[in-house]
Amino acid sequence: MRGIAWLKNLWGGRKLDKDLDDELRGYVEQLSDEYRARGYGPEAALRAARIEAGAIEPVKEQVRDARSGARMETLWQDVRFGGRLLWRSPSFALAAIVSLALGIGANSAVFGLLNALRLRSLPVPSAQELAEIRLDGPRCCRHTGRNKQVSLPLWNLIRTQQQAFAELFAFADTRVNLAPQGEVRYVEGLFVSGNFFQVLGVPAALGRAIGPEDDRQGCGAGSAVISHALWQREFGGTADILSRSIPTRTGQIPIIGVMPAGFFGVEVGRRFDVALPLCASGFGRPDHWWLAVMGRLKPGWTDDQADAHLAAIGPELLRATTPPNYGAEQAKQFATLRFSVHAAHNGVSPLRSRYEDPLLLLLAIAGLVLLTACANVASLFLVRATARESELALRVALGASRLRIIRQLLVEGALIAIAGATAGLVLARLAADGVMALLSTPTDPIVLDVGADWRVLAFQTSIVGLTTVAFALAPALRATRRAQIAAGGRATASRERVAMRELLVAAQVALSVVLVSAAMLFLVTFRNLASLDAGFRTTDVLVANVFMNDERYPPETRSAVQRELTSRLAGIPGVDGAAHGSTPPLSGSNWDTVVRVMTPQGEIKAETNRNQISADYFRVLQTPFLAGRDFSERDTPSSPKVAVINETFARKVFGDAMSLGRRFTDGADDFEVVGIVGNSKQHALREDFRPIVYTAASQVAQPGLTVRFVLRSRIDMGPTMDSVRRAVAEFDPTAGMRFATLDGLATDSLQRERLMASLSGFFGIIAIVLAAVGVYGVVSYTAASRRREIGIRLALGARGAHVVRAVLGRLALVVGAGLVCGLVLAMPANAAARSLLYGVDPREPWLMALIAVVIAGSGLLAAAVPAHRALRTDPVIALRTE
Amino acid sequence: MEHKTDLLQGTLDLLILKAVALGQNHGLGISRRVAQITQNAFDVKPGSLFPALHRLEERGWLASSWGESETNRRAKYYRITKSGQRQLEAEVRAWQRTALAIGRAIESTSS
Repeated sequence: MRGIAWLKNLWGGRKLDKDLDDELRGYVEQLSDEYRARGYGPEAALRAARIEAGAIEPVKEQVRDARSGARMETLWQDVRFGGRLLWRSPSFALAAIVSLALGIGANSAVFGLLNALRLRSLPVPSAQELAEIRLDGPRCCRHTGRNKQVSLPLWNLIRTQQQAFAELFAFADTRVNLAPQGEVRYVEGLFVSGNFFQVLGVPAALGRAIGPEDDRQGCGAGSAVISHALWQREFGGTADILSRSIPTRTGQIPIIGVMPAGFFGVEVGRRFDVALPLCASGFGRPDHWWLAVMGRLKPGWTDDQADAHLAAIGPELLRATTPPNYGAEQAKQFATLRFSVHAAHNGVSPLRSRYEDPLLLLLAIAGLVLLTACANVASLFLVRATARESELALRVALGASRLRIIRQLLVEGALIAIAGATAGLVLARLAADGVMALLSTPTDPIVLDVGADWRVLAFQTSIVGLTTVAFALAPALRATRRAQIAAGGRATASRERVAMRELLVAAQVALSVVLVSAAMLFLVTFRNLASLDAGFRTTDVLVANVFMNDERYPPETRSAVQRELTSRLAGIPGVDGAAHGSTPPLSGSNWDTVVRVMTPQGEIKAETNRNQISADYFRVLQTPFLAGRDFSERDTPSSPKVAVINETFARKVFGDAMSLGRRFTDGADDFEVVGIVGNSKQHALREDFRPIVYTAASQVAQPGLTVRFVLRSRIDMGPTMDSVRRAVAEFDPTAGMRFATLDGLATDSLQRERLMASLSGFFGIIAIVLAAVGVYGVVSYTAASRRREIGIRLALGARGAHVVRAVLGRLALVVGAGLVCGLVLAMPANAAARSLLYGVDPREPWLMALIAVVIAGSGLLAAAVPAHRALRTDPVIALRTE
Repeated sequence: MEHKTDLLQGTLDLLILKAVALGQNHGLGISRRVAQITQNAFDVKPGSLFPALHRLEERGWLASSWGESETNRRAKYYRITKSGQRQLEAEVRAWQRTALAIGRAIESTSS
């Protein structure tokens, strides 16, 4: 019954209102009839009846409130009314919506990325049971990296000895070359233990997933499960995919299944294309660290319990798998490693440690942008409330309650916020795609699912709610209070209202100082890194990795093969020099080693980078020789071993920049220093210069035939690359190749810095524009409300400068206060970002001065237009308008 | 404070139900009849009368229809429904209990 009445009220509101009107009119008429019966004249009777009945409008309001569903009904009215009003003032609506869309879009984009990277669970059943086992400790004895934690023997022991996990699986990422010969075409690969797909609980979409029966010793190249994407991309989605195979350089791998489209593995930010059983890797050595281990905990076990359990059984497992080739020192360090267990419901990702802090910082920055936008919209609402003062006053006079009017104004605010959020969502999607494109490199593609889920929706909703309150509530409260005053008499222009807008402008200026200073710091950081002297010249250097099959060449000829190919590449027209090195700079690989040096005080050990290079390497990279000589043909396997060191090695290890002739040992051979070169970066542009020893590739008796060439090219990279491709194919038609430019590698290594610089720069520009709009608004308003005064002053002969001072004097104060607050706020904010900066002090005075000038300048520019308009005021018109 | 409002509202509802139970009537008629049966102790103004009428109608205790007044004006007539009748009886009993209890309380204080 009640429910029906409610619905009737909601949908039949209009009819009920008319009935109520009729009923109340009838009441007054009947009352007047009574007076007439008592002898009043018709008009006097009606007047007396009206007096007795009192005000009718409040009665209607009370009846409406008494009816259930009244709230919904009036809310719907408010929405319609608000919508109509906004429709009628499109420039106001547009300005407000665009401001908010920028703010909300920025926040949603960054939050979406954080959510995808950090919060979202893996798309597998009961993801909360998943946990990961890691091995922590000194880096000494293991070449570890992305997901590279344990060796195969260690994995086998963990699996059989542990009690905490119901099931465990191991995986390792790899790359699979789809080109049987010629230039390589890598796709992302995954080695998995036989139970990987079973434990995750993800069945194949076509055929079957890899099972325990596929992962057995001697499985050869194994059998492959491919991703849905690869099936579509590489095989055109053909139906007979299960009878096809993957061609590789070592043979054909039969395809046994296709995984469903949404399954990307367990590493967030990456997708695998080909999964192979562990047995197909051929990696079984106890000193080969390549596997990551994950599993589902037994019911009742927590991460902490599992962690304690693994830590307890760890030493035994490590002792049993100590690589036999380790010396006593290494074995001792190896024994100090410790197992730990970490929740992995959201998968694993090395992107997290790299991008979590930057993204959190960007979220904070985006939050400030949203605040600035809110200040702007609040300012717009204030102006509007002023313009509507008489309307609101009228409604108050007619008996509308203050609450009702506040609600009406809040509904208008919510409409704006919702429209802004919708537009913001579209922007966010575009922005998130843009960010991912910015972060991805050809060798390191990043794919994150940034689609909306409940977290994103909850985030959006709370943003809309908060912004509505932030920008609409204060103006609404103020407007209704004024309306109540105004209802009693005529409204007068208020100093107080201007003060509130000035406060908002000061806040905007302060926020933009914080945002712009962050942007400047990141821009300077990026410039510093992009233009620093890395110790080599990145321009015009081609990095060409050539993979030849070692088995095609008898061991004793391999050295000659390397030499021959190098000289052929050096002879290509347009190439100024060709050399090779085991770890070219910025290539992502790194050879850390320890050498021993005899000093008068005894033997010391020194950690250093090592690189095994050919002659001409330094000439190609243009790393300067400080002393001594380059390697040459005279350095052969049988001649005394020689080495070139960099300046840092010379100073740190030998304590002397000129240490030609000094000796060191790597444990196997004794080396004599024959040359000293300038410092250069090896792994990242951001790193400090580290000691490096260069040894001669020509002194290695039987080198491997995976050769990383660097070539300096006089001509365009494209033609050079083609020539190299032809030359290598002529030399060995089965050889694989991969190309990059050193410039490209340098650029790729600065993704994070580029992301921070471009996004914070973008946000800084938005903040300046929003603040300028705020200044423009407040100056226009002041000028307009003082038009009469200005007119009189001009008529009395005031000079233009005085008038401008009258309009701008206060503004200067407001902007100045904003600048000071902003600079004070920026100090701790920038200090928090210190770890992401390079070569710039967060409190750099000239930078802060520049920011103050930029923001004050843009504020002045924004103020100039309305101030100029005020100057042209015609006194006669100004005086008449009042 | 809350209780006082409830009591007054409850009293008003009781009076209106009682007035309508005596025969169907329009708003003005109901207010006049309340005055009459309470011997002018209560003068129900439109600001309380109409919200109460609408509330009672929505609860299903009153039903309404349009008709003509004694002076040939279009007027909305209210009559009591069966459930309204039951509600009236329940409220009368409750009121009598309250009145009795309060009467006793007052007597015991004065003695």
